[in-house]
Amino acid sequence: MLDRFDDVLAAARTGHGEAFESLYHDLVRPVAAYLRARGAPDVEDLTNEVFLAVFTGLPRFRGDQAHFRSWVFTIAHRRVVDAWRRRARTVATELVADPDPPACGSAEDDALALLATEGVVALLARLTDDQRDVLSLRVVADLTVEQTAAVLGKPVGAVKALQRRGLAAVRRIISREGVPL
Amino acid sequence: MTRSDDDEDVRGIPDDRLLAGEAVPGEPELTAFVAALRATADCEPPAPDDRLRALFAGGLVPATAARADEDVIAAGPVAPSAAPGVDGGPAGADERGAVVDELAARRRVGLLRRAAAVVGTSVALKVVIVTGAAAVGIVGAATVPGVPDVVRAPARAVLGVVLDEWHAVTDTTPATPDGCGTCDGNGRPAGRPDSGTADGSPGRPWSGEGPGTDGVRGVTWWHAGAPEAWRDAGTGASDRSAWRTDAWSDGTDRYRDRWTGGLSGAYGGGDRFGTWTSGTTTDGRWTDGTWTDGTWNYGTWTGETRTDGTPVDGTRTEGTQIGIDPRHSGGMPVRPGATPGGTGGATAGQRDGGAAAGGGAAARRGGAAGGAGGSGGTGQSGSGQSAGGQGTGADGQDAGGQGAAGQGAAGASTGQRGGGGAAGSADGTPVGGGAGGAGAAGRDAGGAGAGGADAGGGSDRGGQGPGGDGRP
Repeated sequence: MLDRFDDVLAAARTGHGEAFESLYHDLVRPVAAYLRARGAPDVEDLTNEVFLAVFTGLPRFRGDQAHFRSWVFTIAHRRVVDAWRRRARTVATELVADPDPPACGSAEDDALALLATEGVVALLARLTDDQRDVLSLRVVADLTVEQTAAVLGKPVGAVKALQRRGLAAVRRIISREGVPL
Repeated sequence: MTRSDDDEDVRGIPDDRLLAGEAVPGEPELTAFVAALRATADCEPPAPDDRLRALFAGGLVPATAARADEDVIAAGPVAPSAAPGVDGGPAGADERGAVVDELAARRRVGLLRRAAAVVGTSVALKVVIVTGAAAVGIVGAATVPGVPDVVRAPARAVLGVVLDEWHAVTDTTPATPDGCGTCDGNGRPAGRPDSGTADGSPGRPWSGEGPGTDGVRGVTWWHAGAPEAWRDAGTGASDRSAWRTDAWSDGTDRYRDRWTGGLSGAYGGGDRFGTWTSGTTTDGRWTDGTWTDGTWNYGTWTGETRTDGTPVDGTRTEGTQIGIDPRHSGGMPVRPGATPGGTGGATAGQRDGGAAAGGGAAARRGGAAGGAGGSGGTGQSGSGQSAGGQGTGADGQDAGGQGAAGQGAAGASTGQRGGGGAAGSADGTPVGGGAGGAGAAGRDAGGAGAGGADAGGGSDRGGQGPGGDGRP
């Protein structure tokens, strides 16, 4: 979270480079994580495209930090959907983990993180798209139910039902198959 | 697991607490899952690419950013194009400019595409509208009654060309509308005879269409008044192919020459105009007064109104078609009585020694031309030659012959002139021959012909008046 979000946002609207960088570093991790959780084909490239769209669209944005966060993930959600649509027109692929997993610290930590990330992504891949979207946005993006509903364009009640059923599905899979996390 | 068990299982999940990151007792799997999922956001994020580095280093012009945003949102992500910095570090102003230029270029291309689409659609729409309006205007001008001929004529010409091309392309034969009095077989406006003019006189303009009402002869011959069967028979007067266009050289026997087919049989091989004598007319102009005797087609002219054979408007009564197309009258309008009329006169003249037998035959039906006038009186010496009056029916319907005033031609040898025309009636009332024409002055001027014996009332021949005395 940015302490002086309004100032940073105002500077970014005027095209200030440092403001862009501040906004980028504030949200790039959850955005990349969301894209990864959604099985984006090229997380790095897609992340850059998301932020490029965010920065060029800043003059049109109105709202506070919470709104800004929802807005960024709205763009990210649409980008990943578009990416999957483009990919579906070319080749049929499975939802796989990022071939170039992120580094999370030491080598040991990286190895564990890799396993965890792969396991989580694989587990999410067995959910429905809507369940996957809800859980990713609620956990990774740290959005509220209302924000998640706004990003996905769904009613709040539907989002709550999706998150419950998504978690129930995860629990069944883990308990039945013993997926290590 | 039943559906109720499943629902109960779902409702029992403390989702809010789990998603908030709390460690929920009894839900170790889900707690671990949420923690692992949340941990993915703690990993090292991907590095910004050259475009983002350019923005971080140099910022972005707000106005450009505002415009570029529309393209980015609408057209999708910006393709990478800016080259990285030379030192591999953050890109400088050049790369930032490249990003801006790329976005601006995208905008320009989008605007150009939109403008081209608008212009193309507009032009196509205008072409369709203008073409449709022109077509409607031409067709309307060619078909709507009341349009001035000045406008209608070119419109019909254009329409005719279009129809011809269409029929040529589609290889179809255009249909002639029923009752169309103004269209020829090609669906075009009624034309004129192949040569000469519609009224039969070279050089006279065609002035009407109706059969037998306006004195237009050529038209009624082969077009407007002719039933379909005539036109299609291929042998009638309406058959254009039966017309010769090159035979109107001197006007003499013009009709005979011209009618080379179709009615030849009915008219005795083209001698229908046998009352013409060679040399009588020299220029073929029937309006010059030279056709005053024996021409079958003047039979409907009254002696009072037509004195010189000029078919001027208003001087002509009905009956045009009788003399024009025999089948239109239901029979042969020019019956052989024409010739017998003349012959009879001549015979009488010869027999009576100068009495000119005038009076043409008036056909009751067919309204045919009356017989040619009797020959001029010959007196006691030579034999005259004269054409007597002629009668034609009005329209072939029970019109009695109405003899025109006979006018004897000059006697061949003595110059005597025999008169003797037969006066008839126009309504078929049997009337005897009228008074003969006065004989021309001369030694043997023909006397006035008295009314001939009444042979009307259905007889084919009208009265035949006695010829003039023939004596001085």
